[in-house]
Amino acid sequence: MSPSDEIKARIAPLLFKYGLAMLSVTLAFLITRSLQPTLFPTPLFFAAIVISTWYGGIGPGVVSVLLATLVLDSYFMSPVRGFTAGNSDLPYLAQFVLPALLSGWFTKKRKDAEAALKDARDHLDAKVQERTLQLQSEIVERKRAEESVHKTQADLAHLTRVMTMSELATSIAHEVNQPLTAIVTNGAAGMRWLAAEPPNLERARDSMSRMISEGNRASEVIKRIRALSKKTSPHKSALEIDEVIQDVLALVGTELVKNRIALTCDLQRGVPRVIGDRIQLQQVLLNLIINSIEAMAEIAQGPRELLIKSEARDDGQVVVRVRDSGAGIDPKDLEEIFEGFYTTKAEGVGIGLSISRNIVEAHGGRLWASRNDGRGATFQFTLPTAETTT
Amino acid sequence: MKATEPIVYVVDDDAAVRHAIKDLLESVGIRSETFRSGREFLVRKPADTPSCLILDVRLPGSSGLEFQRELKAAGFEIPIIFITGHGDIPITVQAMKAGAVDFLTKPFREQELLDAIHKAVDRHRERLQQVSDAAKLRQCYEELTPREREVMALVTRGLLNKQIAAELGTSETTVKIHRGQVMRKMKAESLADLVRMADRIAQLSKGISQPF
Ligand SMILES: Nc1ncnc2c1ncn2[C@@H]1O[C@H](COP(=O)(O)OP(=O)(O)O)[C@@H](O)[C@H]1O
Ligand SMILES: [Mg+2]
Repeated sequence: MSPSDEIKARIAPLLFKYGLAMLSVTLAFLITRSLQPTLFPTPLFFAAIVISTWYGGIGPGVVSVLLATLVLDSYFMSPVRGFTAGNSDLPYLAQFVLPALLSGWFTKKRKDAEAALKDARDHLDAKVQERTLQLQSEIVERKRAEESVHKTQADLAHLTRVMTMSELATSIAHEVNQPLTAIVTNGAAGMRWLAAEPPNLERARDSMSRMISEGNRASEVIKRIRALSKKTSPHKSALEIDEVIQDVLALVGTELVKNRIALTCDLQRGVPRVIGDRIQLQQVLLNLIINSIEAMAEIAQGPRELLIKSEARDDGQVVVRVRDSGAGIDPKDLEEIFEGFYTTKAEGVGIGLSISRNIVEAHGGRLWASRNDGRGATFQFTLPTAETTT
Repeated sequence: MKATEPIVYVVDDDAAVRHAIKDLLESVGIRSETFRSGREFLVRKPADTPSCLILDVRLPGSSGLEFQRELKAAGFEIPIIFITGHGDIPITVQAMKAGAVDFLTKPFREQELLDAIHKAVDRHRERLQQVSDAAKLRQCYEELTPREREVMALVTRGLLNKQIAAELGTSETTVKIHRGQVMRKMKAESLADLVRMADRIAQLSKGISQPF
């Protein structure tokens, strides 16, 4: 905008406001005069003052009051007398000017109030808009958080599928079993070739060389599995054990509901942080909880209650308990259940507890089972905390 | 080896296992053919000799159990010995119900396998025998004239010649001649033999056959 434009832009509204003041007073004058003597002179001038103040503000208001006073004094007080206020007119003029000024002032107030209201409304609109934007970004944020929870769950689910793995176990079994089958069968064939009359040494030698190569194949499979387990070396950090518990509970929630199991979580506040591999500890808890669910799914009657409790012990270790009201464990089996491939389930693999104990012991803790006073079993494990390890 | 000697088909996706089984069977003088998949086996029209199929439960593509169904649907009648990596009880039960002869867990003992093979081949031989007996019986029966068939039906219902003659409105001598023809054409050695044949024919025409 050029300077002259700027001036124009500033002057135009002023011209309009004062022009309006003069115009309205002039109109009031013209109409009042044409209707003389029927009309009492003042009302239209009041109206002109109100209009001027309403649209123009205090300045044009005052101008219109002055103009109206002059006009009234000049034309209506005494016929055609020119512009001099005679002393006798003063009380009459005062009667007009005071209300005129007052009405101008009220009008201004009213206008201001309205402007303030409008401001407030605009402000409110802005506020609402701002909040809406804020909420939108909160929603986006929340969505993102939910997605990350989902992803963690998916990761965990994947992981447990790989680890609790009746699948992997069968696949490994198959991988090793094939060469074993070939070895045993080739061995049998070799014996027969040797037992033949006369012995068929050539064929027996073939059988044996195939046994050797199949033996090597089996050992390759074992090597691969070893390499696999090395790759998953634990990644330890300081952890809130309660968060690990919550992670796992998020996963088994539906399972608990499905089996109508009442969950009680008794997590002590401010338990010191433990040192461990989050995923491995999740696995331990998941194994224990799933075992509990399975143990309770077996029983037909009685309450199905799962208690998960964490607390700090005096020796600085943290202990986590998983207690159920399931079928329970025979006293003589309390240790045996931790052995690899010990299972009492038709579909069981029997490696959950042995893996869990390995993990806990690799963390410098202990995992054991005990019988409850009532029904069910309790599994508990200890873990060293950040304080005790440093 | 003669073509009529038993033959064992082996279907396993593992070359080493296939080879080992073939070698073992060869060492005891049993002819065998190996296949990598069920599909490969289906392409090969099995010979008309007593045989059996050694089938890995865990086949790529279709499982052994599915393949068992496919075979049945395709009309292959062959006893199956399943071999499996893990003794999965539900699968075993399913397979046996569907007519498997045996179910061996890998690694199996050679004697177990050989016994299973003998059992399966014997069953197949019997089965083939039954099928060919039935075919022969049908052929003989087809050669009877309508009148001879009537006489056979009445004879095997236990009627005397005289009664038959009355029933058919002919002389007893005619009935005797017809009866002689029936016995000769059906290659029956006795009346009891003929009754058995009549029963069998009735069964066959009702579509009843013995499963494995
Ligand atoms: N909470 C429990 N209550 C009763 N028995 C249990 C419980 N947890 C484990 N067991 C017993 O220990 C065995 C081994 O468990 P595990 O190693 O997890 O293998 P799996 O669950 O595959 O059987 C189970 O088969 C069961 O007999
Ligand atoms: Mg378990």
